[in-house]
Amino acid sequence: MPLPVAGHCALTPDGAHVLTAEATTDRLRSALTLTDSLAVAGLTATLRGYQLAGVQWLLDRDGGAVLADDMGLGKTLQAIALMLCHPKAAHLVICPTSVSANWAREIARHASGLRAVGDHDEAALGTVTVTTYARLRRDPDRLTGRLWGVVAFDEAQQIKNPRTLAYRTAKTISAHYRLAITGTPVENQLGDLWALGDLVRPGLLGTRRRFRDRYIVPIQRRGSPTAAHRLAAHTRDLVLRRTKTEVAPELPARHVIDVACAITSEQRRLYEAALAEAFDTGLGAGSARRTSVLALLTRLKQVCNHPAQVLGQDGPLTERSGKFDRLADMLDEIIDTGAGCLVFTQYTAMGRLLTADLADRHGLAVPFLHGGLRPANRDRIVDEFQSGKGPNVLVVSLRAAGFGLNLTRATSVIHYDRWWNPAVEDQASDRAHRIGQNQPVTIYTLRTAGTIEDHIATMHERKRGLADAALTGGEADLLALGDEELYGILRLGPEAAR
Amino acid sequence: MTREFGATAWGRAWLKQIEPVLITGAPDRDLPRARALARHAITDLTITGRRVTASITDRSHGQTLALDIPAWSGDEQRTVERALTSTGSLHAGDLPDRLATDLTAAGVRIAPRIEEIAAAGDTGRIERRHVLAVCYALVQRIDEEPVLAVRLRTPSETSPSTVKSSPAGLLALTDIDPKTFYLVPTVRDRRNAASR
Repeated sequence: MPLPVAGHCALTPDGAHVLTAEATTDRLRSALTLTDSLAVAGLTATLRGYQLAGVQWLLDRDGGAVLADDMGLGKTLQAIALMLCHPKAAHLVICPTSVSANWAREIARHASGLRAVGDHDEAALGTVTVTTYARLRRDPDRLTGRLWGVVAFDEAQQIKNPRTLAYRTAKTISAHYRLAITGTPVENQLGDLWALGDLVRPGLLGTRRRFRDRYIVPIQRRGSPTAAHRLAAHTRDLVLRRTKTEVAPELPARHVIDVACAITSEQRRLYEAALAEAFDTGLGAGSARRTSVLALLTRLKQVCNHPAQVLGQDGPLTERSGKFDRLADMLDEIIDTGAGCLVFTQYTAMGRLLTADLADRHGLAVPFLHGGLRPANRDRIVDEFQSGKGPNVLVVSLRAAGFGLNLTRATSVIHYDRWWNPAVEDQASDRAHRIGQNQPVTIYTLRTAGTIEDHIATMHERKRGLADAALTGGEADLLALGDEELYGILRLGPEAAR
Repeated sequence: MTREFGATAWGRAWLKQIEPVLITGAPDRDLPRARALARHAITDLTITGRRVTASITDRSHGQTLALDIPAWSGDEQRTVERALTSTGSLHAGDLPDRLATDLTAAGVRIAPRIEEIAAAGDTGRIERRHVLAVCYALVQRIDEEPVLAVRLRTPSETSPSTVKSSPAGLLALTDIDPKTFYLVPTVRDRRNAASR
């Protein structure tokens, strides 16, 4: 059946062409075929249109690509689908420690055809070995000694320096397909673009020196439009980047993403010590028991947030908390893209650590909106955020958020820690997702896998959907438990295993 | 450190014609002025075949210059073609520096002497420093895309076709006719489209 131009007039990314009728029907057919073959290979999730198009695009690249979609658009899921398209192979994911738990969880959730395994397990057909950049540096031979199906470098901007050991080792890993995943808009950092490009498609961008002479210097020093234009055309075959705004019609207006983060060994030690201390000395009875259980819950939640918080320190902050490192990566991306973001925490001490870290690493004076501020200061912070005059990130105390704040500049909301009552979190998220918001809002809830935060997350799932009046504080449920049951809930689960 | 002019061997071959290595006599006072003009005063540098056009504004006086670059001799052209065949595939308009060195050694003059370039302007007389400024800008353009150094000297009959055509599977917006936008194409329309 021939199509009129009106039936196939979706613009291509260059903005100057549309697909022909034949190409449109071909694409549709291949999308349908891909959907079928992914289902057969064991994908249990339903891909959104742009995700399916993304997987198809990745498959059409010869041997490697950079997937640089905005945060929250499902890069992990697209990578998993890509692995499913390479059957009869063992796959490899190298990521920061803070996201390794999330990979294992996403694979278990979305791909029955794949099995996530750890560093020390045997890689076999259909397995995905999830390992970290730290391991890549320490024990490279295990990873470089074999041929993988797909190797995915997640948060690949972390190894963008070609002189480092991690980068050089990553280059020697052999795989049928090399995928770099990053949410940072690499096209703005041309040196990084070269590094990632050369990591996944060696030689495609020429040598580093030549790239510098032909692109970086002309574009950055003399603003050469011809060089910029040629580079854009050249990288269109290498980098896929869709922004949240571009795919907004396909996104739900309010979208919650649960982010499981790995526990660090320091957190594990502190967590186990707090538990042992409380249960060894005994929790007491009556009102004394109530006080000691609440104190224990608070302590455990603080350990999950950051050892520095529970120990009352100012630093150092990196590589001590899985959630903190994950948040730092997320905020790096958000600061680069300029999209508005709210970070909620229930602890003032944590809020101060977060703003101190942003000031330290980005030189940004990110305000902390909390209940102790004078109304005039509070209004100024809100105005500056909304008008775009202030930084695009705002740290907000969960308790300060209940009042009529309008923070619709934010299209991302991050809950750094979990409150017992989901209604309180929802109310906070609604500061961004409310009338006047014309973009989809993505809400991220961070949790340390295998800890008390898992319990809170499960409780939220159970309670959501009930009428608000039926909600009671979650601590009350725990207070009613005997020692053994309470210990069973609070002790570290398998996801936090060593 | 990347040179501002002549970052590649191809750009440097052109630069040598502008700035001779052996200086005899007084320093050429046009050169510093031409470099400054190349940096700030040249707009719309376009290259079509062997013709380079550019607009230049010097002391608030604007002029459009057209430079015609002389083609290689038959011998030079054959040497270049042979060398290019053995170079293999190239990416994004690059050519190896080594090829420039080899061609020079084989007697090919990559860039012509400046005096061989025919220059025409749309207003008044042509200043030498203006021609030099356009050449400096051209050096930077060649550094960005070394294959231009070959195109600029290739006789037009052997130059690859420059007729723009849409990539396979794509239809340029400029080729869409609003009159037939909503009409189902007839068999004849489709046959015509296929033969285009």
